[in-house]
Amino acid sequence: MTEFTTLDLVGTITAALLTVMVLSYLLGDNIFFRFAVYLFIGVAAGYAGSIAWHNVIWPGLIDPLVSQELAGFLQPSNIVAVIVPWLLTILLLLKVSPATSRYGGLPLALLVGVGAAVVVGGAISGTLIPQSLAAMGTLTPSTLLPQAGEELIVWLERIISAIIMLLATITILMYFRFTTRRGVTGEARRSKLERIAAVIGQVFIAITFGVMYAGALAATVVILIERIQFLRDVVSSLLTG
Amino acid sequence: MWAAAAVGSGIFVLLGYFIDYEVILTLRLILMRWSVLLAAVALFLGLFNLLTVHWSKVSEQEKGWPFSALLILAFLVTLIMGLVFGPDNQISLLLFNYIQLPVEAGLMALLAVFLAVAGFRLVSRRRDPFSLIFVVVALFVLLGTGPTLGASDGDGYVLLRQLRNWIAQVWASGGARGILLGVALGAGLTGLRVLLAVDRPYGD
Repeated sequence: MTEFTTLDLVGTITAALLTVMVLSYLLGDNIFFRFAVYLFIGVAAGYAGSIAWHNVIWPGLIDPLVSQELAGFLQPSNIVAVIVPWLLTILLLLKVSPATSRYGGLPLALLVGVGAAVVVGGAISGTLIPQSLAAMGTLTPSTLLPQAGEELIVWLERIISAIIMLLATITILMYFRFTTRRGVTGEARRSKLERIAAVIGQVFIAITFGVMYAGALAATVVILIERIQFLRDVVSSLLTG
Repeated sequence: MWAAAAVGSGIFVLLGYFIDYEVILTLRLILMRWSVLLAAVALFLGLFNLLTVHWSKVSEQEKGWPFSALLILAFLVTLIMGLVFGPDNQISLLLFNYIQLPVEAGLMALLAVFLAVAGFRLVSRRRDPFSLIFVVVALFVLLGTGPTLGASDGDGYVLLRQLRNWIAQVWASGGARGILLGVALGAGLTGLRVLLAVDRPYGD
């Protein structure tokens, strides 16, 4: 049996009570659920703030300021590392007041521009290129030609699987097509082939979401079982002393 | 002017992904550092906003104000403990382990019930071929995950298990690749609209 210190005992009982409070939402919205959720938001927000302070703001803004001599601020490297970030921070803080918020546009524009570039760069180098290469790789001769000693049925299964994967990718992209012309009533105008491909794409989307849904449901059921087991362990530990 | 700042900074950061040139890489690093600092400061502005919204609820004693008071108390205690002693200190970890973790796990556990309810609602309210395919595939994959289909040795079970794996690893993988590519194209285009100053969420 688990040995509890007093602090662990109080913490474990608190955790069990909070778990029951959250699960009480199954009976409908109630004050216990709200208590647990508001407490959670407060703690999560405070924890996020303390992590941002210790990992970003202190080493990036405060520490360079307090560790420099006055003359050191005029060096070009310190202007980039200390003065400009402080100016941008002060401009961003001006966003708090409606009277001064128009001066806070520059840091916001910088943040949005860099964020957009990271999104575009990440989408190209992290998804578009690798996934396109992987899709193309399903049709290379080394993948499609029969291997030495391979049974016909295994080779056929490999070919059919490669075709299905490619068909799924292409038809879903045709369903997602962003640049269709619109008719007079605003509906998307597609050719007959595009309409057929879009329907096949929707079938593949339904299959994919079905598999994802099953995976998510199985994972959350495991967590539900773990929580119930935790509650059972706490109650049995308390009852047996 | 703000558009020029957004476009200029964005283009240098984007170029840094594809061009291995020292000036561009250095400029990209500087811009990224500034952005991370600004994002952290923006987080604190968000936390300040959270505090003021709930403080006004408490001071005007609006409906549910005791919960707002609880939120403020939990926020300040956790933040002060974290600021003074660091996020890795014993008290912060206790708050994390015994409050944040169980509530997060509890919410995830609730999701199991609500996902199941949403599945039943889909069957009862939206009866089209795509919903039917979704539900049949989900049930089949779930049955294959369970012990009856997942661990039995009979020929029929083995065939069904192989069929389940084929659907999950081939049909769904191809579909997931298509969805991923579609999402990446959409995200890339949205980012490009900002970089070309067509969309200006920072104002003019």
